[in-house]
Amino acid sequence: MEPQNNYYMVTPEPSSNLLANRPLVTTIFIIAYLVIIGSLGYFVAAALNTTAHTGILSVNASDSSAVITISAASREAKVLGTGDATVRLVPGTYYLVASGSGQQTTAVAHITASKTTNINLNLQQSTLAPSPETVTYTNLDSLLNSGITSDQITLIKQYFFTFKPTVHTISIDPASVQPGPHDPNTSIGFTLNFNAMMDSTPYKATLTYPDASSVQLQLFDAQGKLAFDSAQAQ
Amino acid sequence: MRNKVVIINLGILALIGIVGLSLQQAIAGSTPTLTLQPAAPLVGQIAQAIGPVSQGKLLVPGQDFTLTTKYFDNNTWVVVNINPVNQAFNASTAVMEQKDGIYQLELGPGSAFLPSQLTSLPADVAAYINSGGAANGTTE
Repeated sequence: MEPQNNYYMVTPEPSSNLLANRPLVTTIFIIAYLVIIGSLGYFVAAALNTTAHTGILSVNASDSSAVITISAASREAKVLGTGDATVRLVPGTYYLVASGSGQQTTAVAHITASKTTNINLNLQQSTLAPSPETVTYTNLDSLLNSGITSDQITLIKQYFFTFKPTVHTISIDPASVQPGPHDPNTSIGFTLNFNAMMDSTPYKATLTYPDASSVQLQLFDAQGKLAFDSAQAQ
Repeated sequence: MRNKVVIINLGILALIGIVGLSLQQAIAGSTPTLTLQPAAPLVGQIAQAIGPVSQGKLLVPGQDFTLTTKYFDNNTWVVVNINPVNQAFNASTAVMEQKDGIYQLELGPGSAFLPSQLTSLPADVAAYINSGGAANGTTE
């Protein structure tokens, strides 16, 4: 009698257990491990690469409101920050400028890989040669609003600078800007009076202009004495 | 028991992630990497010299200004005429000297200089400025 083979069809019981389908779950975990470890390996390698091929520049300006900018030869300029900044840079020579309160100072930074370079920018030791453009003006718009042209503003800046080349800030009191008396029958020009503060020294200023392209600036000190007359300075 | 295995594996994965990110942070730190894009010679330094304008942004070469240059003394000195594109500022002149591997601002930018300011410049550079600036130089 031949042995009889009995075949049974086994149907797995439905289950809510996550590991019921063990090969699939195992495969998912293996992939997850590979992805996580691979990604981390990439990021760590990238970090190591960045560290090995860049240096750190740490800049500190003496004025916390000074704007710090950076550029390099044949490279664009960017604002680093205000007061202080720390960035990673590829090795090379960089040009740093700190600007604030009408002053400017510069420095050169040589960045070396894997090293930190510290630069202090002292605005008290301004490297910017003074010129009419290095002066910080406040409320010049109040003169424009009173009929002074931009060409005349340029002249006024130059006159202020001629009077005191060491000045850092010139502030005009907008409330003090008043037109002077003008009689078309007798006067040869218009006048505009205002109060100006040159750094911490107050002056009363008078502008006289016969047309839109020329102007005469007179400055009177606190005692009312004529301190400057652009007509005599030229 | 099987669910515990799943939870343990998820925990290990999270731990690996945290440790890895911490490792990366420890290596590179939180310092941002700054890249400066290529630009025409001197435009970066001149944008810095003019300084930030509206909203703390620097002027953009080509868009806000162009440069006219005249080099002197084997390219050690250069007189730069700064030409505004949209009248955002007055035309001005700057003098730069190549020192320490890069051109650095020595004078200006300004539209007028005192004679005493020109005494620190080489005679040919000062004479060029006195004769009318960089109007005949090379535009970049």
